Amino acid sequence: MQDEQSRVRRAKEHDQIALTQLYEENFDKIYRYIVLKIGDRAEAEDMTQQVFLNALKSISSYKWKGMPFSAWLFRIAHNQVVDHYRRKSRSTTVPLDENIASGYDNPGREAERKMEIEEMNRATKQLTNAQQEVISLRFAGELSIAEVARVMRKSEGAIKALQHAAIISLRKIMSTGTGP
Amino acid sequence: MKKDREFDNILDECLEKILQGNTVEECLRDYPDHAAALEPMLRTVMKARAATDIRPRPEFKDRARHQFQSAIREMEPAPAGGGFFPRFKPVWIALTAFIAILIIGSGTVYAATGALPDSPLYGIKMATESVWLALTPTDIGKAELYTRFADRRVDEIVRMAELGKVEYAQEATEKLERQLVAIASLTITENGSPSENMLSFGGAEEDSTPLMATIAPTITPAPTTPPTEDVAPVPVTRPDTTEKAQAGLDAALSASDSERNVGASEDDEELNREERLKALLLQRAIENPEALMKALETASESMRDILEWAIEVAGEGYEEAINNFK
Repeated sequence: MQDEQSRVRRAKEHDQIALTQLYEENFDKIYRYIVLKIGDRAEAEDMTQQVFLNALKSISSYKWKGMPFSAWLFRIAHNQVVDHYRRKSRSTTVPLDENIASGYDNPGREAERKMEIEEMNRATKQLTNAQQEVISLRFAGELSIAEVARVMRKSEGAIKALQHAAIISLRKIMSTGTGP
Repeated sequence: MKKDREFDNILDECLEKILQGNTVEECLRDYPDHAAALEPMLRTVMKARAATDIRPRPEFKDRARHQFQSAIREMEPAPAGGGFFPRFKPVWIALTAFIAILIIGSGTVYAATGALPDSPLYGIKMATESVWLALTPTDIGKAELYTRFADRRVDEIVRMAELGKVEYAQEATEKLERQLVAIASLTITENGSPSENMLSFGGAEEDSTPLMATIAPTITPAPTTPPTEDVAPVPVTRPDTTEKAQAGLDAALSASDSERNVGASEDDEELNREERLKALLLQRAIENPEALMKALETASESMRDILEWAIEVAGEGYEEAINNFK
């Protein structure tokens, strides 16, 4: 944490190395979170880039509050996802991008991954919005409960309860193929 | 309810371990009593974890990286230190502010202690609070201070909500959460009662000063303690329940005063102090969430989620701190 605090301080001074380190540490997680939320690879790529460019614009006003820097980035990503749905007047089912599982050298593995992602995508769409958010931040974003609480502006107790309910629902959906 | 929370905590501990690479079996071994309930959930988690392991395309990563690097190069260099107190650690800022306050005089202290988060004096208020904490040697003293600071945060959230200043309200809520967590951690022990540290420390020099300044202002504080009349009037009306809660608090205080009058020992004094803190927390557990709920009634749309979050933080924070006394 001490290292990150020092890195963030340098990033605020526009230190290229510090900014690049923060970018590399968080890029994949932010992409994963966005792509799971919107199910569209091309849009997720654009939005991921935009998250980091927006972060760059606002880094000078960032205040260190003892939370990992990633929690701030996920808050930016979360807001962009909300804007995205507002613009698109969200439909209940988001079509899964055909190429979402690309990035693997082995075509067999890619097909298998696509099926897993499809199943997960179908299951999470049946959760409440808050449950979906917890699952995306926790599993795709790899945030801790405290960090998820900060991003979602809820208490840690509430996030744990949401996580519990989400896993129970996911289990039911994934084992039966139907809603909870 | 308590069992649900306990299971939520166990589930989360297991999830954390799985996210760090442990197996389901390892988690189940740690919680044999809950293994039957945990196993199907953890298997689902493993599946979900595998399914969410999506990687960006390498060509996209290269393109994005290049664009990000170009954006860095186009940025103007930031001023070194980037602030009014460049490169100084918070403790030095706090001590410097404290000395400045002593030099400038009590007028500034009064003005700063009533400052709201959008005020230029707010930094001095925060620095002063840090100094008080640093100068308070015992856990119970710190817990009392944090309780008072939490009151201030609630007042600040309500005022910022009235003014529609979302960012400041959020900042005050984050501080409130940290302060309530601090109170809970200062009162917790393994057996759930106040810590030995809280019971063993005492002595006249820190006798009840911060708490008594709030609930019994007629008692004169010892000179070595932080100033006690720090709470400037804040223009927030507490809910009607205050009177009811105050009556309970008065009863608790009255009881503790009687005990003191018949010559209570120092240990008794410490226990009374804990009782008073607990009574104060019980009072605040009612009135602070209610003050926030009242603010929510008239809040703008953009402020609502911050206030709802603050209500949750206050509700759970006080409950945890009070429960730790049991």
